[in-house]
Amino acid sequence: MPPQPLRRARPGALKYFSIIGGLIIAIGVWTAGAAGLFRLPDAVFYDLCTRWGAAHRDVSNQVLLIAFDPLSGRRHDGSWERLFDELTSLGPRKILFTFLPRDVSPLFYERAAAQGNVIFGRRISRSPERSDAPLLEPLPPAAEGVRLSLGFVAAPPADYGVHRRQYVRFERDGLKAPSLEAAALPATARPAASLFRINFIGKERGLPTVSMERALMGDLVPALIKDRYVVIGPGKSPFETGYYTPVTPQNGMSSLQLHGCALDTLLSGEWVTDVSQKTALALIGGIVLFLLLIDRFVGIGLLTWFALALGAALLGAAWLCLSLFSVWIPAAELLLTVLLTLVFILRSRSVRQEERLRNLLFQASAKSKERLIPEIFYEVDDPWTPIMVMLDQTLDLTRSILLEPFEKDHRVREIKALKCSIEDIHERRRDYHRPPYSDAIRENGMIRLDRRPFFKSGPPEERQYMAPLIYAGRLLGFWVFGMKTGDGAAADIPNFEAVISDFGGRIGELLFRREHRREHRFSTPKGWRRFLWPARPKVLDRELYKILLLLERRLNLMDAAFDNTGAAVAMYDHFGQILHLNKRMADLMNASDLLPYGTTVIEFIKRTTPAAASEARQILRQFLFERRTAILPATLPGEPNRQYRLGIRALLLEDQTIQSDFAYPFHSYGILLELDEITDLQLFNQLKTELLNAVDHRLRRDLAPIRCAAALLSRRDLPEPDRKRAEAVLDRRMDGLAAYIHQAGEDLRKDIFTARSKDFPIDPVQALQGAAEAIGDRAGSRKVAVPLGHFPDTVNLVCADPERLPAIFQTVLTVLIDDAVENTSLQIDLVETEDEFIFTFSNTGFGMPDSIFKEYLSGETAVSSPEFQRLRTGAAELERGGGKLTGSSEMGVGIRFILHLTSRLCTL
Amino acid sequence: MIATDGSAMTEANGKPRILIIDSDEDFREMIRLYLALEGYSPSAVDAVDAVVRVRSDPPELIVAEWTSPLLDGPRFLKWLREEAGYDRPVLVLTALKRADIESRAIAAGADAVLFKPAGPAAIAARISELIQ
Repeated sequence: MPPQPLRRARPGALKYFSIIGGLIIAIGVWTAGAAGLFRLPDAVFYDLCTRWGAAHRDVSNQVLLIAFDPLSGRRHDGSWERLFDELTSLGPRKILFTFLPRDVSPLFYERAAAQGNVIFGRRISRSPERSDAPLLEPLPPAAEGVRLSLGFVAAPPADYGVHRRQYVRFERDGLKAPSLEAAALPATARPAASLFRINFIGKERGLPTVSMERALMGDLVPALIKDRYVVIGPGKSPFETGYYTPVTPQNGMSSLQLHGCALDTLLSGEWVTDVSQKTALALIGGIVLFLLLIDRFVGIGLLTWFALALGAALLGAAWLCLSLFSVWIPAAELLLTVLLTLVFILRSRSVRQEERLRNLLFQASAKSKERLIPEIFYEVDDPWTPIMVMLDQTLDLTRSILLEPFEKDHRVREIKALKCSIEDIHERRRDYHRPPYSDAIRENGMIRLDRRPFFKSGPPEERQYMAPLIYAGRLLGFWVFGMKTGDGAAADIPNFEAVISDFGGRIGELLFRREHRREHRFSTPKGWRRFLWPARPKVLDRELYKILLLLERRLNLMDAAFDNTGAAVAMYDHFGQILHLNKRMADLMNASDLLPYGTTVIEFIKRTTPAAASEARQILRQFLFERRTAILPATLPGEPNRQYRLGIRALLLEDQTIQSDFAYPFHSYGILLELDEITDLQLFNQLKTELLNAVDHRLRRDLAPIRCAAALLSRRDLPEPDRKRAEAVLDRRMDGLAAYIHQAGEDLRKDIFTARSKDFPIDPVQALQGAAEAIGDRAGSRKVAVPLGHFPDTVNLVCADPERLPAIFQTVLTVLIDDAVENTSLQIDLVETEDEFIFTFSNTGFGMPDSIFKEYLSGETAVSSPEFQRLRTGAAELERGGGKLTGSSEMGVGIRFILHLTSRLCTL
Repeated sequence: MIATDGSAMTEANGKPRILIIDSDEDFREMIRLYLALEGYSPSAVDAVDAVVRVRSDPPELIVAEWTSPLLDGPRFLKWLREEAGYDRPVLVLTALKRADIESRAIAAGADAVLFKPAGPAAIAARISELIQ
């Protein structure tokens, strides 16, 4: 069963998280906007859009302003009357005074009232006694009793110091009256709200203004006045800051200009309206939905670009709506919506990826570890008992205890103990900051606890040890154990420290895994906390590091196993290119002039097996389509005497997701080549074949007289003496044959790979031929012929080591070749008798004095020549088997060897 | 008695003389007894005496072993045909069962090959064919 992940992915839950998160963002932003939290940023955007908007827009031609110097003081010179006369003669639609002139005669007001198109502005300010009560400007004495058209004038409201709106009417404490600007319009043409946004677009330079002096001079262009609204008021004095507006953020606008802009906005009907709250909510919701939808289809990079583009589009839309439709959408809220949604989406993805990564890596390490340490190890109540028992049985411990440090303390606590407990350790010996713990840490290995007793009591012959349990550079605990001393004690065996170190490493690894598993389970936030509590980078990094460490260990183990396996293995992909090969294969290929990473699988097959290129391709085709394994005999270039078996098969992995009976459940990941050396096997097979041939011959030979005797005994005309002779032959030969077969069977049953003695019945002629092949190059280089083709057919075998006898022959031939004159031939004769083989070797060579030769061959004095050393050893071996090696030499003639080998089976 | 005209060498009683050359004494004795009962005049020698016997008393047919200690079949046949001038049938009887033995024996001068353990009746029948 595949390992189960600790936490299963729940895509449904995460989807609902997105919807809920989106709703929270939409409602939250809308509520905050409705509560006015975004007024400042909104105002900033509004001002920017106003300034950028319609820079080329034409200034209104409905309103003309006449400004007088506010520092000029009261005018008692009839200026207002003259101005009034001047204006009325030119036919304006309406004349608006932003004030009530004081230094005029009652006639002025009467004429104004009679004119019907003159509106005066009456100031409203706050009452000094009551902060919310309006204070009306008193009418000048000259206007008493005159029915004037009045509009109220007050300081326009400011948002963060910028004046963007103007009153339409005042409705407070029973006072209800239009503003000066609104009074110039019929009631039906006025905005419904009490405040309206002045449309300053195109008015950064203000409205057309004429100075009063010029007007009084009669220098007014009639076309500028006719049918226009003329607003008369004070200009901006040098001491006045003026009103800051979206188009005049640095230098304030005069009140006259402000009133003029307000009037112009009302006249054109282009006051800027804000979208309703419902519309704002719909826009916010639409943005959130859009981004959540996009998130399902695009990656993080593209999503970010989308969000940026959306933000830019929103700003553009805000500007366009303002410029073209005089509608202001809540740009700040919408931009914030985009930002928050993007952050939410990125965080969601991060959480999902983090979870996926954790699970993936944990599953990968768990899967690998399940092969070595099943997950059940951590699930059972007491996973340590089997390990402690195994340690005890392997090392023959007197007692053993595993200790781990307390997390926030300097003491150790028991993990598991066998034949003891933590109570057996002195209290003051439980501080791991002190010796012997600190000594063990410093040594980074096992120490003997000799100086002071560690356990409270114990047998006198006990020797105590402590080993730190370190893995991945971290101290995870201590292993303290006792062992017996004396004969055969494990502590006295070689490599004892290395063995303890290995065990300690494995225990440390188990502790590491246990700790990692605990951390994974309990440190991962759950539920909504996953989104709100970002994972601490150090925690995630440490976890990742641990998991990668475990994966690396598994890979190292696999590499070690792969490299230490007896067979030479190479893996190729489907295209015949090398994927991986183990050390043995690499060594073999290097020794054979095959490029380990540069040889394709077809080339490898061609060069190592008898198969031609077309056959190799056919084999691979069979392998790919039919998944058949091929086994071919192989030799490596440069090593003709070594036989191999080349196995070609698919590298298969079972795919557990495939359930169908018809589908092939295994995926092929490549081609696996395995090269097993079978030289010894081949040799053994050959020897057995030769033995069987000899047995066959012996059977035939012995059965011949038996058959003849049987045929004779069946004849009635056989004389009695001959009958007795026939019976005797029959008995004797049958017994002899049975004994021979038994002996041959004993030899056949022998396993020369595991038997102490490697002797086996072998054909000495074959051994000689093998030796001649082995020294072929040497003979060729010396131009000395080694003729072997003239030997008679032999039938007997000799009992000898299949590798030693050819080596002896090889040494004899080597001595002869090295001594021979070039372009000569060795003479090799064979005589087979009933009991032995007699090989005679001689050459035409330089020779040496016979006494020296005999001393070299069989004397007692040391000889430096490796060939004669080997001959001495070989001669001794032959003598043990009943054979003999002798020789002679003559100066200027050559050397001669005579080799006697006894014909017999090995068990005779 | 040896005929001066080179015709078939038989004993005076008309029985063809067969020379059996084999290293196995028991086989020599048994086959000799059998062939004697079949009406032949067999004599059996080992490899050491074979050459002398052939020269001194050439038989009507030789039954020779192919290979044995002290007897190299191909060489013996070559000597028999080329040096001894023996032109009578030669039956090779061998326990060495290999695929090339028959062809090599024939090429060396043998007239027929039988593999041991051929029954004596079969050997006698083959001898009869070769003599006739």
